[in-house]
Amino acid sequence: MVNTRILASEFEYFEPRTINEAVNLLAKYGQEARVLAGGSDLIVDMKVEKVNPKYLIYIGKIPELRSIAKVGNEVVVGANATFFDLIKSPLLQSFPILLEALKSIQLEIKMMGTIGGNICSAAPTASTATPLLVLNAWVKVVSARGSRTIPIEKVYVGNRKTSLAPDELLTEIHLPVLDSRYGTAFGEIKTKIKFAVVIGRRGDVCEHCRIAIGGDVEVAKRVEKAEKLLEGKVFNERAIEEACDAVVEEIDPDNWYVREVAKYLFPKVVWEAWEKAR
Amino acid sequence: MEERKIRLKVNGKDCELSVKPNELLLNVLRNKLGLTGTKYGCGTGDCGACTVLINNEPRLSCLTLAVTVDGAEITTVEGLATNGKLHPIQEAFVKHGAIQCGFCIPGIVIMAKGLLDINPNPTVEEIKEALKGHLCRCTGYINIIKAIKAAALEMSKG
Ligand SMILES: Cc1cc2nc3c(=O)[nH]c(=O)nc-3n(C[C@H](O)[C@H](O)[C@H](O)COP(=O)(O)OP(=O)(O)OC[C@H]3O[C@@H](n4cnc5c(N)ncnc54)[C@H](O)[C@@H]3O)c2cc1C
Ligand code: FES
Ligand code: FES
Repeated sequence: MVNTRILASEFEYFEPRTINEAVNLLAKYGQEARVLAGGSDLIVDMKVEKVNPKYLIYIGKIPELRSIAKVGNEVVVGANATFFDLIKSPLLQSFPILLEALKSIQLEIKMMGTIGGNICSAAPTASTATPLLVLNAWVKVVSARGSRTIPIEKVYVGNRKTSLAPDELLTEIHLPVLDSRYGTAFGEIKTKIKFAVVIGRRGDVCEHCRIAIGGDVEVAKRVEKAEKLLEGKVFNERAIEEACDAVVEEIDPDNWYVREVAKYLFPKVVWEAWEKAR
Repeated sequence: MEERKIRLKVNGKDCELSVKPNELLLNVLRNKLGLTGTKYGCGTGDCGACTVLINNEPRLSCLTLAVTVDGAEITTVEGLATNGKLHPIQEAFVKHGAIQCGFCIPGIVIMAKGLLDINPNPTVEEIKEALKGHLCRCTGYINIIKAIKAAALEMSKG
């Protein structure tokens, strides 16, 4: 049994003040280093000896990583913005689907957890994963080698695995402002199943559709098959049922309970998005 | 591991401490400053017993490295009473019988302080939502919810 009263592991601790300093440290220590943001995942993982970094690079003292700004037609969120920073930011009020998904996070974690940590932990249950996927968010990552941008669906490559290299720092999350006629909805049943949906409509026809699934699945992702089944079709019970079947296929066949709750939740969420679309 | 100097303002008092990078704020408060009101329950974020205010925000001290809060203001349950008079939240907990063994209470009272600072008049639903990170083996939560509601009312009277 591990003793969670203390953090037993030993490491060298760094407190860079700029992104540049942080990525230089990552370049030097890469594989053996870990970025520390809010610590709500990492300190637990270190206590239970899931990871044992030799170097810890705390990014909480880099002010620019916590900014939230509107740039052109996007809202750009610094990786180290906490959930609470997002909730109280006037700029984030135009992304109700993201705020809705943050509601169920407990108070202390809203204060500690960061959006960057949430993305980099890449849990399929992560609160931000499904909304970011349907918002077509993309991220900027920086290393001493340069910087690159990655669409969010290419970040999550597996259960708790991202496509970031060990020397890369996630710095920005870009949220394109949605067409105001689109309807959005988010629904979850605990950490079992989560859906985020964006719908554009013209009359009775579903013109545009984005669906993301998260929860008790291997990885949070878009369900393109279900999106195609709705796009260009008259929006009705039958079309939803077909899309629902495609969505349920993403869940392990042996996971009977989650399949059943998904069948209940999915139509509710798509209807809600549809009704909000103009 | 090399110790680092940090400065904290704990319950209004400035202190300078020397800590190892792997020392948890929880243990610095309890062992170095003798503030044993803050409890260790699970150490993994599940119980809320270790909740303290860091710059007025409720956070879990069992998952916080002390070095990362250098320069911060910390409030623990010991810091709520003023001049020997209990804080209205504490008064309400006593009055409503919201305390049994008391182990979870410092964390909950501190969380309630953080909650009421952000949301001075929470609904019962909002209080329940805020309590989700706090485990209490004794009370069944009902009187805790009543106490927080009553404290909010009392505090709004100023
Ligand atoms: C009690 C409890 C309740 C929780 N509830 C929820 C919940 O409701 N919903 C939810 O989604 N999650 C929840 N979590 C998980 C966790 O709080 C979130 O995933 C949070 O967003 C992690 O952010 P952090 O800043 O604490 O990350 P950290 O723990 O500091 O880091 C997490 C990982 O990301 C890496 N990392 C962090 N920032 C960067 C960066 N900028 N660049 C590169 N790598 C980086 C770290 O190296 C580490 O591997 C909960 C955790 C606990 C303990
Ligand atoms: S001891 Fe910190 S949450 Fe349980
Ligand atoms: S009063 Fe005993 S655990 Fe809450």
